[in-house]
Amino acid sequence: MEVLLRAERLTHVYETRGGEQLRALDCVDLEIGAGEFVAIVGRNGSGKSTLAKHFNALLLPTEGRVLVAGLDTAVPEHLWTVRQMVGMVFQNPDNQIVATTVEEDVAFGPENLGLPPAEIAVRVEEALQAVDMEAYRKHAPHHLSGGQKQRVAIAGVIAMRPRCIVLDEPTAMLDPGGRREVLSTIGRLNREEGHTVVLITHFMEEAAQAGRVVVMEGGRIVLQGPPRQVFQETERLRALHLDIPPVTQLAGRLRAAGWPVPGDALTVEELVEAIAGAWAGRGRGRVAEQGGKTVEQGRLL
Amino acid sequence: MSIVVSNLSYTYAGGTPLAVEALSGVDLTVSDGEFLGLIGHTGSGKSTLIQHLNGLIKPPPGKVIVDGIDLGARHTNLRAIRQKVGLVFQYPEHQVFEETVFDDIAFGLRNLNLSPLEVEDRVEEAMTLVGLDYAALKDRSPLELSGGQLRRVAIAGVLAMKPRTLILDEPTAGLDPRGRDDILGRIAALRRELGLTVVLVSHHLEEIAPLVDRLVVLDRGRVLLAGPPREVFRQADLLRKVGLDVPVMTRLLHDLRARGVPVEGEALTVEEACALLSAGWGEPC
Repeated sequence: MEVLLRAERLTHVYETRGGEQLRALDCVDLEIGAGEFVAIVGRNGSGKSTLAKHFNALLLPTEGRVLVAGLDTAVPEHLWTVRQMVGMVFQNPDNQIVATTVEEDVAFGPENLGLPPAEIAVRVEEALQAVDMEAYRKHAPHHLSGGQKQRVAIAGVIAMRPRCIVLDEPTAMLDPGGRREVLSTIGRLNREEGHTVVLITHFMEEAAQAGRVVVMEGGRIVLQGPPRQVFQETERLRALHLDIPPVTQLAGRLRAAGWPVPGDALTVEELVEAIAGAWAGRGRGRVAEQGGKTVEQGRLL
Repeated sequence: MSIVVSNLSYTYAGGTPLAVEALSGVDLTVSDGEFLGLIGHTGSGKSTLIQHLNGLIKPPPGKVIVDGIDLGARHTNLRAIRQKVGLVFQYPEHQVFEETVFDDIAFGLRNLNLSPLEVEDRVEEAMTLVGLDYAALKDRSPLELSGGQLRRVAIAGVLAMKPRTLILDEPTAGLDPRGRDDILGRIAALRRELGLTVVLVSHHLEEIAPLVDRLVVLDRGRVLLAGPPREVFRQADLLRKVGLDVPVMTRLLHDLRARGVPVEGEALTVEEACALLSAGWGEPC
């Protein structure tokens, strides 16, 4: 797999107002492959946003370096290529809207690339289709719902034809419907369009959808792996001010009590399937009917 | 302290082509000491409604009665109402602006003609209530605090006014899981210890469902559903249709029943789901 984003001994030091040196990132090594979906989690102040901002050169390393498709982000000549390859979507959709209609908003980036109008029109159309917002192209962005605004922001990034989309808590301000829309859009872009996705989130059930979860603490990566593996570290995550998704919590408790279900289940569908399957299997065994009510006599195996 | 809202409507930019009806015939009673959750999709009217509850938007006469006082009446002292009904906005830390934590929390008290000693007492008490160390933090600049601490400073500023009702708009937005648990735990404790009436606005059903006595669901400016959380969540399909959801544990048990697994009742938390599954199967969990 081609490595698209690479942080090498990346350190970032902020100076606080009091003149103190704050090490927001401390010698971070991380590789993200083309086509990967990586979630970065960690408590407030753990360094996740600082890390993300290095991937499109919004921040530059104090020490170490960041390579995007092999290009060092600290080299000024690489800046525009890097920014075009890695698009960012932020938390507040209202701060990311620049135009008075949806299509003009999406066209803003490509226009700044100096592309011919016909090419811009094609890109806008493709981007709006990718986020399922074609029907709204003439609408005023500020009349859209939060989830729709975020999808427009994502379309604006896609219109730049980036290789990677970095999203910094894109659902923090959205209602449940908006969260569903944005997450399914992100998942589809990764699976079907081959976009590399880096998702920063405080919601573990969102991180569970990624291929890999990276856990940060004190400016370092302290744990990483597939969600199933990471979310088995209940105590460790709790100590890091994090949590595990409710479905995985329940699966773990059932498993520990001897139920025949996978203890690392991540989705409702998966756990329902396992419990219903176990129930059906048990039903074929020893079930007695008493006055219409099913009473179990055997013990669960 | 009770709040009675009757047949309240509100239109932004009324009389212009841009008119948007934000509230439409809302009836709502918040009882003294109640813990009420207010949910609804973005633009459903939640923020407009809560701004009516402390007179930030002045209602027409007879529409909003707080503690027996008509907020729409001509001579009502809205400043006194705002002291009784404390409102914590979304991302309140964006409104923290004083040089020190102490000054920020004391800001609202300046208009109350209190002695410096009383101001100090109230700030210390408010900081203690939200779990901030008075001695260690009072002279610090708000800019040096973490996101969770800043949010607690903002809540302390409202508590220092000694309100009887506390209204919070998305108090956990942007916080990590521990920060969310911490703020919600504080709010539940405040309600318990001070007997406050609390109205909590949130998008996160998982978080508020186990805490509140009653949920009110707004949709397009109307009250769509109201009742104890377990009852409201029986309407899973309707909630999804209006951009909301039910807690994941409620959905899990619902889906299991659909597959013929005998599990009765509604669960809001992992513990409850465990207990109900255990009862249905006759197996420990």
